[in-house]
Amino acid sequence: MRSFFIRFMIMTKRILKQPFYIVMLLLLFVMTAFYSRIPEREKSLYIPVAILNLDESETASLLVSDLISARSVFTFYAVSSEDEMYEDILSGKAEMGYRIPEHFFDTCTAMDTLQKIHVFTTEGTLLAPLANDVFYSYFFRRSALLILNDRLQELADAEKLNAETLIQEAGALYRSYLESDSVFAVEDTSGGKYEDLTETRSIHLPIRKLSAFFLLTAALLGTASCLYDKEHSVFLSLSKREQRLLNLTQITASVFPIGVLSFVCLLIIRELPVTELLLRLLIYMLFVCIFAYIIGLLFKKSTSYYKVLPLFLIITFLFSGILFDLSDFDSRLKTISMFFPPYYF
Amino acid sequence: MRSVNSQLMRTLRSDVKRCMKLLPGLFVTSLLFLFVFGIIIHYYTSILFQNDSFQKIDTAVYIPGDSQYNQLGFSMVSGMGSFEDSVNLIPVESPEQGYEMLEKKEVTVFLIVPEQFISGILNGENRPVRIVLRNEKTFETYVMNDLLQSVSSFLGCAQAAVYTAYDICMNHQLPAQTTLAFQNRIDTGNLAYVLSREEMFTEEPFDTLHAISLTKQLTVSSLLLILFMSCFVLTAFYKGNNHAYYLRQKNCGIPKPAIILTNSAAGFFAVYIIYLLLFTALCLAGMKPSMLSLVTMIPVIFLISLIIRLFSELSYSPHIANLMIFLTVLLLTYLAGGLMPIQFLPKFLQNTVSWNPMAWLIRFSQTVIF
Repeated sequence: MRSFFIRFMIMTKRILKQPFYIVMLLLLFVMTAFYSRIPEREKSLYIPVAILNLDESETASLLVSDLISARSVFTFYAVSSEDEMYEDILSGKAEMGYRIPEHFFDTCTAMDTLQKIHVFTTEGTLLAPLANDVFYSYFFRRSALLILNDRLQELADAEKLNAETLIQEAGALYRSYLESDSVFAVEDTSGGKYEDLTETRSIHLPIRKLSAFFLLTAALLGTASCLYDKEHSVFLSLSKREQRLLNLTQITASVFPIGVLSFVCLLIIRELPVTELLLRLLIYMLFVCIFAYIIGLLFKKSTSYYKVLPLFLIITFLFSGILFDLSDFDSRLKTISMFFPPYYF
Repeated sequence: MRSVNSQLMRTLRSDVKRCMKLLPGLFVTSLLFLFVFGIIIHYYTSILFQNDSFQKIDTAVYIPGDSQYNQLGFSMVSGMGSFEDSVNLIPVESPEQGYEMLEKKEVTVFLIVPEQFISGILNGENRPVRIVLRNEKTFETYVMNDLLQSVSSFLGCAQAAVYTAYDICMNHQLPAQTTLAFQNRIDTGNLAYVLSREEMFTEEPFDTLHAISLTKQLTVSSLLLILFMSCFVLTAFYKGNNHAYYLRQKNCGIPKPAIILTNSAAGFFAVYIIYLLLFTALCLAGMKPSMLSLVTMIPVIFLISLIIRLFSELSYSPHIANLMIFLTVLLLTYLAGGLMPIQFLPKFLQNTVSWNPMAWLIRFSQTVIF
């Protein structure tokens, strides 16, 4: 047992001299320190929607100002170009965007001649059909009068009346009806308090997945050291059993420092309850040690191992959940990520 | 002189031959990366724009069974896109059942439709729908409010137009038959107009606003990364010549720079072969890369092989060179917005894009390939 500890200490010292290992330790520590200092932020629950109005008519401008001042979960705002809309949607400033085409209101009196309004969405856009209905409700307030005016023109021609007078009269009547109680309306249950729509959110950094990835990398670096020793016949005088034990000690010694740091870091950010964290960490460390040991058995030379190692680490990094949250992947992608150890931590 | 030239050509031929032996390894590495990046490209937009999904609002609805119009109205409303997307309508038998569900927190909203509701709208009585909320200040109740306000606005505007039409006809003392016909025309016209409102909108992915889609942008960055990743095989090839070899070649009249040159030419050739593989993969994936890129990408490939060569020369071991190339290229690609859009980066990093050589390389390759 004593010789095991001496060997363990020597091997830990050996791995701690590797620059790459030191970088991993520092990175984990800095990330945790940074993460623990990020304050929670209150975020509005409004859904921002960009509008690009290419129609120069007065009605279109009025529609845009109606939408901007609308009381709704959607906060409409105007943009001046397609590039601005693209940038806003991409950066998350807008959830979606509407593009009102040129001369849109010139042809809006019949659905078959109506030009299409382009709705630009992402795969994460929430409640797009509702946004369309809210948009349409404000549009219809304007277009219903335009349709009526169109029909009044025909009526005036048929009945030999003055169309202009009829249209003026219709405008005043229509507006007064909209403001009166005589048309249908449901009670507004928002109480006009849309500004209360906020929630507190914190930024999530994948410290646990980063630890899992570093633990695996450390174990694989341990295997690299074992292969190097084997190649240079460092422990040739020892029996096969003792060599195997030494290899396992080397891998464990590689995992140990980063395992301790991971435990401390995850404890600081309160990722999991202490007992659960300790248990999970120990099981995962055991798992990566066995994994690295088996991988070591597949290679005879450290040079061929070093050729494969970077590729394996790059692919593991991509599927580790550090870049993308695995819980949001679809089942096929989740299945692929199950082939890489960080999935299990 | 002639013998030196032929010796040089022989060295070049032998370098190319050696390089050809590396091709299977390069192909496997590239295909592996192609597979991984292919998966990420496939899921790219959903990964970038993952969002909290909206839980449909459970809403109890009481509709008195006294009118077919009411049932017709209910099926029309429940079939609306906005309702289907955000509300889970649960019909209840009695108001008491609705209140009970509200109390048991089985539903968030309870709507009580009055008797003769639709006929009330038709004859102008406008009986109000009663809205009972479990909690008044949640996102769901505001969404519900928006939904109901929109629908009531359609009805209100249509009514206002019909009433206006009627008033005008009456003001100008038009015959009753003309008034009725005109009023009906407005009424049915508005109804058809509102019912077909979804035709007014055409939904498109937002990146159609940009000349090159996000997927294509990532494809180009991945392609460049894969070309750079050929370093994992090429650096060993570049570092493969020992000192004795250089001395021997020097005795034959070929200096070290000339060997480096022939080495680099063979490396360039290998990277170009990898580009051919990637080009074929793009064609098979239906991404329609420009045929001209087989020629116009040559400067980019030359630059990549030159960078790999340079890193190999600067570092004493191929592993260090690979690690340095990998970390540098990955970091520069990330900062150039190659892995995720620059808009996702902090503002101060966004300002560095114009200084990032990788950003120029990506931009040039985008223009050339697509």
